[in-house]
Amino acid sequence: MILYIIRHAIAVEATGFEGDDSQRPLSGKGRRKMQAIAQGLKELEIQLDLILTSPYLRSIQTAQILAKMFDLKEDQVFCTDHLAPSGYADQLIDEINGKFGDVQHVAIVGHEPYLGNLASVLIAGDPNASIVLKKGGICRLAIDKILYGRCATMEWLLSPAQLVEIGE
Amino acid sequence: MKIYLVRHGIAYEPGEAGYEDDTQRPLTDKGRERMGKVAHVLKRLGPKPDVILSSPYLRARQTAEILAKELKYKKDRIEFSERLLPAGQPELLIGEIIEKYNVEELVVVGHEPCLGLFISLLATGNQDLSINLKYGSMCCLSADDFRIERRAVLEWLLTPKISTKI
Repeated sequence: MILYIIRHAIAVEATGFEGDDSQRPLSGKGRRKMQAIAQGLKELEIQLDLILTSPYLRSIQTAQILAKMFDLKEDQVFCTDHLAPSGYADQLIDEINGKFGDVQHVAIVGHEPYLGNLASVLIAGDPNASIVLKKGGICRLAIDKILYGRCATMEWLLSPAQLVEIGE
Repeated sequence: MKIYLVRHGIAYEPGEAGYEDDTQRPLTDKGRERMGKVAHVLKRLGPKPDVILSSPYLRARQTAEILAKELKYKKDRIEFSERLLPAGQPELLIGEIIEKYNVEELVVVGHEPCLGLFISLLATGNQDLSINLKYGSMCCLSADDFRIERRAVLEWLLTPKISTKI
């Protein structure tokens, strides 16, 4: 499996936003930047078969921008509570193995510090290795069989600025 | 402090006629050309190295020279360390850097598996981190203080193929 770990793009500020944190949308800048990032990812000639996203609006919107760029159908985007900021990564991996074990090219979209810790567990067996994803940052892992532990090799880690440059 | 790590470019294969001495294998023409592109990207990503530190092997030295030219760093100021050899001593390398090259921006050129272990020690404190460094791959780490226990942040990791698209 090739796993892309993607942090949601820039959302509107929490201060001044009246709704629940889970309902904060991407800002105008966040949308534009994510569009450019998705273009950059496309330039890398990668394949995506499935996107799993946190149920938070800023993640769903990030996933939608990616889905559109890669011509994914509705049933190729899947929302899971295990990717919410309060979710558990071991349960996410159980879910992937249970429902999507045969899918080759998977992206997960969510939040920090959850995603950085998950990447650290997968490549180093330790949640505290210092992998930090910026908003719109992406890393690619190559995995034989995904499990909650050391099972992956990091192939690349790109900042949002680098992805935007690739897309231009 | 930021450390930019670069694995040397494509060199002549070990044992190829005329290149029996592993320490003296040069970059191939393709290796030189690709490394030129990688160096150009590295320049755009911003480093103004205070020091370029390289393995003394020819393929690493040539890589360091290509980077030095692009980054406007004097070729005769390139430093060398035996601890960067392929089976080098990443633990001792960290000590050497803290002692001698404690600068704002450091570019390090070397080999696998030494570079990968060095990144692992800095980012996790142990040797377990698994990353794929190809010939001409680049990786940036940042930290206030590069001690083994103090964990450095892995900022980015670029394959040469991706570099040429930036």
